[in-house]
Amino acid sequence: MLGSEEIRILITALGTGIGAGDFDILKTRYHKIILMTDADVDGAHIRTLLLTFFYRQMPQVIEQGYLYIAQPPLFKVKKGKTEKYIQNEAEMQSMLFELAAEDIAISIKGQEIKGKALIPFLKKLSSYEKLMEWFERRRKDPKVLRFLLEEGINKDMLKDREGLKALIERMTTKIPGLAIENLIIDEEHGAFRVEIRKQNYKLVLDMNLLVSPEFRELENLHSFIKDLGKVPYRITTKDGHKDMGSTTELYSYVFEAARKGLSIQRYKGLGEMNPQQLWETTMDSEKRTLLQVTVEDSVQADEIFTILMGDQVEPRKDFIVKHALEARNIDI
Amino acid sequence: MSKVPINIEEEMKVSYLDYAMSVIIGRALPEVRDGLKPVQRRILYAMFREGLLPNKKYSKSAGVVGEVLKKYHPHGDTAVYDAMVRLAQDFNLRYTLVDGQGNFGSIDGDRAAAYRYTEARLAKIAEELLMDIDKETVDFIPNFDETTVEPTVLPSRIPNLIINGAAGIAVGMATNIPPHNLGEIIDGLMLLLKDKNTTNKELMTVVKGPDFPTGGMIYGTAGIKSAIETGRGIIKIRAKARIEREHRGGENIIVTEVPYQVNKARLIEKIAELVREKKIEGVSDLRDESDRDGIRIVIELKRGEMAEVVLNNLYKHTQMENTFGIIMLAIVGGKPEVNGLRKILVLFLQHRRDVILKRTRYELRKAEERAHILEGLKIALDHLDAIIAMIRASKNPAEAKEGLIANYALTEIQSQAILDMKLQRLTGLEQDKIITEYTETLREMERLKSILGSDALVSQIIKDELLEIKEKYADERKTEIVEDTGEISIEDLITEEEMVITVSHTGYIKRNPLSAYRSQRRGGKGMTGMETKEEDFVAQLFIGSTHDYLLFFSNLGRLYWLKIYQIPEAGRAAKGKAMINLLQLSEGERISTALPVRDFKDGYLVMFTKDGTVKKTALTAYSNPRGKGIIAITLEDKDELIAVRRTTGTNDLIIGTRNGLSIKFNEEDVRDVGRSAKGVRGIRLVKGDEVVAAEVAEEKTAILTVAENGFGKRTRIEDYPLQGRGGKGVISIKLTEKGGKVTGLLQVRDEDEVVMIAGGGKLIRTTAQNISIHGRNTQGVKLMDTADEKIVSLAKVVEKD
Repeated sequence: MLGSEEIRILITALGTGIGAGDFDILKTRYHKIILMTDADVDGAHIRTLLLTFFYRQMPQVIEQGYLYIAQPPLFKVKKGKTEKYIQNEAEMQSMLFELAAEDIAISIKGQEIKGKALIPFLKKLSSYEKLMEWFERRRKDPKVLRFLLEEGINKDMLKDREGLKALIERMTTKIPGLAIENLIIDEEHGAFRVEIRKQNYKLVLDMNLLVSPEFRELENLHSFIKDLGKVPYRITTKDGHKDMGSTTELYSYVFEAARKGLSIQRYKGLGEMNPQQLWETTMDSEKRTLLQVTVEDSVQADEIFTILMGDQVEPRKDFIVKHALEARNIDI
Repeated sequence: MSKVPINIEEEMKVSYLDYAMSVIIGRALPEVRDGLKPVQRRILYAMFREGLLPNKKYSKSAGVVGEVLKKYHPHGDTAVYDAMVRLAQDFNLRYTLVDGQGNFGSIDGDRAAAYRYTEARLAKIAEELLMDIDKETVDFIPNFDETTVEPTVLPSRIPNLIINGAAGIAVGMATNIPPHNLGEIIDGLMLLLKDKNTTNKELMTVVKGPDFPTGGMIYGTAGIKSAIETGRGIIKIRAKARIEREHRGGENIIVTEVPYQVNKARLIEKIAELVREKKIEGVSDLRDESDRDGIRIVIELKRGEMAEVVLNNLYKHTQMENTFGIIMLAIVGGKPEVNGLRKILVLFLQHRRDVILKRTRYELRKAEERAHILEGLKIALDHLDAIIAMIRASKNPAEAKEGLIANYALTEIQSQAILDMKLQRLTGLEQDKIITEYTETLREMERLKSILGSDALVSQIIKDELLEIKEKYADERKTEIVEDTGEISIEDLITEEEMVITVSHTGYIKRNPLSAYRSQRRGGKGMTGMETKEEDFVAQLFIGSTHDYLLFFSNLGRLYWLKIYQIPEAGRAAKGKAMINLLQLSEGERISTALPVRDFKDGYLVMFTKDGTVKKTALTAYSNPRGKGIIAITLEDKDELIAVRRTTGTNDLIIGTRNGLSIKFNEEDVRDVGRSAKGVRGIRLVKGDEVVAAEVAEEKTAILTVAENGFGKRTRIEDYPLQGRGGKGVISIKLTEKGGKVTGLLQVRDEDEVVMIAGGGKLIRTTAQNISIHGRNTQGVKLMDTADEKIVSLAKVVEKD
């Protein structure tokens, strides 16, 4: 690593020297060392390499709080003639919420809700759909989950054999193609457990599911979704009424509509911006946002560097497999 | 400015995961359904959209690269061009997907010409990958700048993943899928269509294993089996070579196919290097005569070299034999998965089913739309005159349309179609056509609906389409699969033959076929087994098969092995080769005993050292030959191994010493120990005495004892009393000032010839019966006039009769 030309230039620029005996933090020429890499995954990779360099070779730079990460914008959004830089996904999302709420009214509890008043609901809807997606990625059938939520599944229902049987009966008529095994006694919780399968999906309905934080969050969100009433969900746009068959359909319609007329450019490389744009969005010391790199738990930090950057392939693979679903931005 | 703290651990984790997952999902690994990595899919799709179809003109590669970069793949141009070139290389892809015009590189590792020179279009089979793509068969997603869309997978009428294979290194995981034969794979798919429970084992009846574009041979089926069953396995691929006899007598090895992904130029360099370094012997010349018709590497051999042996060495030391580690890792449902053959084929069939259903739905929709319009036209024809009159009376098209909708219950689409109708369609013939088309469309709709309602029909379509593909593109298997005959060694190439091995007194060794020795009647003079130097003679002679071992024990207690075929074959009269050149002896090390062994099953080896110890070890302990030799006995400082004898476990042993003592004891007194152990006391020596010889006592023999100044005698073996091990022994020869010390002891029979050699090279050869027999405690008679020299050596002359 130290043989790399770029790293040598970096070391020279810092002026601190390198290695035990030579490195002197007091000699550093800069108190803000800002890592600025492309916003794509290759940029993320280079960032991990640079962080490793500083962590392993110049930990004092991090300890003193000199190391920062720049935040170039992820998107440029154009509507008509106005341009806007959007820093991250969350900001992008709230902008879309606002745009959506301007043009669309949704009937909630029998009332047409529109404008700012609609934004909280849209946020819940978005979280709800994302959480459903999260479950689906873990091979839990969203249809089954929705059904259970509509039935108002609770702990007591799992303890009632006959009631549970009836519930499953209703489920199989409503959702075709389910394979359901017999009730199994769950002694630990004094309840029953049942496995619900459909092709690749597999859901174990038991106490553990009901008390899991994700499911409870889903229940919580569903209590807002319920306000939509029964399907079809009625929305009103400039072109009149439209009926939506499901929350997913509603969600994608609303956001499709919000995106209409927008030109969204996802920034990947810093090179895509003009110098002026780069200044405005990323470098202007008045406006920019910097992430200051800190080490909270050096034992854990050390472990993660060893796993990700060490010579052993196996732990790295295990780590990737274990956390695969947590990856946020997958670039194809 | 705002400053937000961020934990380094979290940042590392998140950034690294994003990178790793992107490389895994979106870069290095192929999708299981169409077998393509994103860059490959984008190249093919871009070429398709550019209209670079197999029946169209070639177009500049630069255009393709530009299109891919601009619309689909925001990465480097070389990455895109390299990927495209690979798709066109017939030594990389079993079924090339791009049809290249110009220099697309070679198996010698030459790169393709720059993209401004070369041209390309889709290969015919690539069209099958893209077929039906515009019939809503696959999902499209927005491209990187949301200016257009791209397919997430291709409809893929061919099982591309398994026929073309894939190689890629992601993060923490890698894939390496070998190509297969299209015909065999389709046969396998047929089995699965017939019975979805077909097992991997059953698939193997039609899918023989990988089939590389470069041909070659796969050695052994265990790796193939494991790969098909589990998705992982290691196979050996070999170059295809044959041996050609030259008219001037020499032999050449001709290589016509190299293993998959082996660079031919580098292979030849490596062979040349090994020849130069003498790691491969027997090669006199090396030429690459490959041309546009194919590969031909000529390896010329020196005269008299065994071509099979050289070839075997080439396999062993060069990439003429290569291992291919199969890891069938591909993206399945957005996650990387290693799968066996069955699962890969099942997933492909699922994809085909999906594509066909979607295509059918699309076609049905189109047919319904068409039927809808035709119904309108039919109505129009039924009321032709009235409608024409109404249209003529209308002020504008909108009014005409409204009139149609209002009066004839036509839809807007139908009305528009009527208004767009050409006048010529009103001719009688054209009117009939509309009716026919309508009934045909209805029939087509029925057909499409029945497909959507029947799994069996869908399966039939999948089957028909696959058989069509087989008909069009399947070809002969290129790679031969050879049962592994176990570890192939040189031995398999050498015929088993009885050999006579002679070892000369001064350490030369050679072998001759037993058949080279004429059988003589008893009492004949015998033939010389070896032409030796004046002062040399054959000291040991064995008969053994070429596949037997010869064990060589050195004075330092080390054991070396040679297979008998490794001993140079030399003419009957030739001298042979010095043992020190055959074995890796260290300085001061010489061979004290050589023993032939066929198998290491029964019996013992008994070792005798200069200091009087003996060690008995089961022969089996020496059955694992190692090139550099092993320790046969652990010796004290300055002690030396004098002799090693093979025994049955119940033999009597005799040890003779420099001071004329000897001891005879039964070997049962010696406990057998491990290979590298030390010995136990055999004879108790006084200071200055040492062991000079040892024998396994036989019946009706005599012990010839010779003292250094030329005195000696024979003593009957039964005159030596059997004693316990470790005693001082008894007198074997009475030493005198005149006679000097003992040079050696030898167990002889009357007819044996013995040789005594004096320091100056003087050599006396005599028959044992000429030496008189005396009791033990005598000094014997003068056997040789040694003048001032001493006798240094005593040996039996061995000749074959």
